[in-house]
Amino acid sequence: MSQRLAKEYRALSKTLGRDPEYAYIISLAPVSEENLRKWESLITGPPDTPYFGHEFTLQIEASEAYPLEPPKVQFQARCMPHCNVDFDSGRICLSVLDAAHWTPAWDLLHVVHAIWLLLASPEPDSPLDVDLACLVRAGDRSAHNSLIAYYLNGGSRGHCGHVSER
Amino acid sequence: MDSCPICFESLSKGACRLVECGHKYHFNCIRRWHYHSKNLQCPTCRIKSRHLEDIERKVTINLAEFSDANLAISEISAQMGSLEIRSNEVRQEETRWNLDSLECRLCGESNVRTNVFCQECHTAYHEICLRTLHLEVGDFSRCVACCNCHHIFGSSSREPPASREHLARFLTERPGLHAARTHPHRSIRAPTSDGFEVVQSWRLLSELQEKCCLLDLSEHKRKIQAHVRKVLNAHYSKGSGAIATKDQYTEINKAVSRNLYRVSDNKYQPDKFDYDVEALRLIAIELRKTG
Repeated sequence: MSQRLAKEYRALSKTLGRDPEYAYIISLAPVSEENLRKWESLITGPPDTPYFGHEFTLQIEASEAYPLEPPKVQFQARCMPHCNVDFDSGRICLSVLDAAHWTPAWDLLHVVHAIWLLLASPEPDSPLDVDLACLVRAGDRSAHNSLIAYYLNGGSRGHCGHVSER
Repeated sequence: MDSCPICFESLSKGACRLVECGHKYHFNCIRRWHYHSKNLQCPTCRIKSRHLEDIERKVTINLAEFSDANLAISEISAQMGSLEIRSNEVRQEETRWNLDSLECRLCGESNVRTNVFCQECHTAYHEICLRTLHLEVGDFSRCVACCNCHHIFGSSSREPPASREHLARFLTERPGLHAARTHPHRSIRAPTSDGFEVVQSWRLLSELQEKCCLLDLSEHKRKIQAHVRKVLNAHYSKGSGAIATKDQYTEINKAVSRNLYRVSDNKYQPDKFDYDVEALRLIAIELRKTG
């Protein structure tokens, strides 16, 4: 089945850079050609979000059982303020990355695209970042967006509880 | 040509179709997914499928039955312990193979050691997968054939036993077989004339099943008979004189019990029958007969 990752890699080199739908993907490739199980992707934030204009690294790891099991995907630690991402570890809460919802008909491109879409539509019902989720739930878009912009532009962020203490 | 949504390879060979939604996959891929996900949802549309049509073989498999059969067989073989392949070797010596690096042709799984290996076309299987497939396609015979070349395991029309040199050669020629190192063992039993003991193990399986049924049956009968004895004992101890001798007691017990087994279809069904009342009625009939 490791053939499949090779197939995906080959197909991606044709898709990326040509399909305008995936123009936001700067790169999506194995870290080294010797190990196709470890990938990395660099994406830009979606338009009309505080993430626009910033670049983010996704770390992807496909297990032996891939594509029967979902790949493990996370953002670089302490780089992604998002209500469904654990800021300190970069862990992402997204149903398709969960074994119960994963299907082998999905590939790494689908996964990256789903994560990109998640950036534009935070899900406050399954939060990993309570502060941001509270703002989404309260409907305070502007506070939510400016807080994210603050972090992305180098604003310091302590561990859990920092924001609510202010 | 379409490609399989699971492995992305061409569907020109080994394709099958989920009947309910029409999505096509490789037979091996979709079955591997079913095994893995433990549900029968289509990976593309998540519709639950109950039937899988093998396009090449033109066979439709009932997936619900397949999982039941699979479960039953894996339970039985778990009780029996794993079966080992013995290659047909020089007299007084057996060679055991570790085939754990080989993927099963049917489920694609290599984590669980494959234990059936076709010498004709060098294809590995899990015994369970192969057996299940035979059940699925309605082949209840005890002979098990290789799905690839239709060589029947354990058939007498086999080539003469492969020599050690031949084995060694084909092992080195096939890179997938790197784990197949041979360990000579002192003979535990004389090698059979066939390379594999699959047929033998099928027989063991069905014998075990039969034994289970028999055990069940005697258990049911014992319970029914307990009722008959209870009613008979009541008669006997009352000293009504109706039952005079021990022989008569035994005769009546036998006749009544047999009748009860028959009416309750050899199954103890206390919710359907009141065995005490039935026994009393039948005993009365027997007593009238004997006068």
